[in-house]
Amino acid sequence: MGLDMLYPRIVQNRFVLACLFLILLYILISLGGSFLLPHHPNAQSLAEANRGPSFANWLGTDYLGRDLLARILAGVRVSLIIAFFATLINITVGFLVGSAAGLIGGVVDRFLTGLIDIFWCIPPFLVVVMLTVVLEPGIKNIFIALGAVFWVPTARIIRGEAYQLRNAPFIRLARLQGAGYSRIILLHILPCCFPVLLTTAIFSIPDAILAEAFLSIVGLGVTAPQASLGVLISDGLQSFRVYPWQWFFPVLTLIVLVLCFNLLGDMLHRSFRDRSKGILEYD
Amino acid sequence: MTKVDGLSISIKNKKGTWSLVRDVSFSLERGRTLAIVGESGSGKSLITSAILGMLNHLEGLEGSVEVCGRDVLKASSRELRTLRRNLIGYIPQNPRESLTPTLKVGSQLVEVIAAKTDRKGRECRLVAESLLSSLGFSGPERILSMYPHQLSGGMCQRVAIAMAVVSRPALVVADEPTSSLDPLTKHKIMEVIKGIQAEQGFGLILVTHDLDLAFSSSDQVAVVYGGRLVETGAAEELLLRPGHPYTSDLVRCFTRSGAEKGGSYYIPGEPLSIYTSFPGCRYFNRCRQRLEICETKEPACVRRDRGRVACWLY
Repeated sequence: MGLDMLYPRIVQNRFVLACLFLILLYILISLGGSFLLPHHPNAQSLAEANRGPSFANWLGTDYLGRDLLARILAGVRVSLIIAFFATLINITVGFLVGSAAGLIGGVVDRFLTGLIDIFWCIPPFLVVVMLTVVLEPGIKNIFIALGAVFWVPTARIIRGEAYQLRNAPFIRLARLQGAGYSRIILLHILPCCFPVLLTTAIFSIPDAILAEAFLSIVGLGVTAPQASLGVLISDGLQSFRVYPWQWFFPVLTLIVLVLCFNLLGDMLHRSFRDRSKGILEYD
Repeated sequence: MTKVDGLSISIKNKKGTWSLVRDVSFSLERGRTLAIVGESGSGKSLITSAILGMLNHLEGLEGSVEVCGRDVLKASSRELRTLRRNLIGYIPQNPRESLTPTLKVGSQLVEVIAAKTDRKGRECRLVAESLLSSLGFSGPERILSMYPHQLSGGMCQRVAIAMAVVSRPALVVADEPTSSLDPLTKHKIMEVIKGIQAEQGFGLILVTHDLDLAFSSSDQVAVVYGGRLVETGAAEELLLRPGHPYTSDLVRCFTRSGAEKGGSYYIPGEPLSIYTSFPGCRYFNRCRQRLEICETKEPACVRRDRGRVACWLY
């Protein structure tokens, strides 16, 4: 089970291959691209403010004369870092809470399910906004805030999976061999939940990117000189009528990035679903 | 030495109390085999679950199950884990579903060996290989690198047997170990189990509804009906001179004596539902030798030859 079985599907589907390639390109460029460009993302030069796209500044400059391309690359990096850690928190907490609830059952299940239900009732963005206000703004606190709300649906899905598995013969055998809950969760339930977790993770990344953009637009995102896609979009929005490219290029970057992750997630979801049908029952 | 004494299981809820298993007692020496036979719903599986300590949370659990002097029914969950790692082995009913489908056989087996014997990585692998080859696998390394779905039912069962016996337990409970296997594999698996039993000398509890298997591969047989041990005794004795009418009906089904040529013999009627409370012997409605007292009072367990029987005829 795992990536080796997905490999042929990815290669067969050109469209998905393109998505994967674009995502890798995003990651590579955002990590290394800033070093190749002559412009520092935070270097201001007021004399060159609000220039349109040119040979010197491929995507133009912003209202402080900072190179837009350099800022977009830096912004993608920040957005991806936030999305990665928010997803990591989401998956880890969601899996541990969900599998503990589903496997142990009884009082533990009732308590954790109650907790999930309570979190479910609170609008997630309310929690995120409150947390970012209470904690100091910054990359770290944004992904903590996002992780703190994203784990709830994941925990619910994983609880369902674990609940189905708890009476499976192989869990019974593991118990009768003297395995404790932690061993069963990590060794026997985790690999069975791998498809669900991977799909959830891939779908959670674009969610986090969009959430971060939203936070930056309302002014709760990363702090001033730093760029993120959300900050760039909100800056661009202010001078949208006069200098539309300042808004257009960050938005285009965001759309393509989110679309790639969503398409990839869709493909994963579909291929796991098809495979669970088995070869003989394919329709 | 395994000793089960006065084991009773009942469940209570708002509507009342139902007694599912009553007064089960037997003892089993190391190296010997006890077969528990009975039809579906007779309580075989409940008795096994109780012996394995899986029903410790039930309120209506009485009696004691001692394995090497330790009471399983009073063990905490931590003690149960140690007991299951060191003293009690378990062989499952449906081997193919009992191995985790997403893990290679090797990593599962190595994991169990590491947990049960305090050995480290490479050593576990070697133990796993030697164990598998002693269970009749010709290429253990190849088996270890396969997933459970790539193995046959019999192969999975042998892997499960390896997991059960790796810590040289005092007692192995086999819950219908051959019911999902074909007849040829069935005998092979029983041979494997008996072979490793001869080598390690554990007591074996064989739960089955396969009378052929029960009589051919065990020393003692315990017949369960309606949640009671209606008769226990040496296997060949029960086969030749069954005491309880139910046992003799079972043996007759098995040997087909008394059936018309080519036909088969079966016991008429159906067992009483567990939801009906009945003061007398629960076999009363199907028994061919019933007496008046059978309807009103449940018989006590009395000695007969070298075994015990619960019937008013004795």
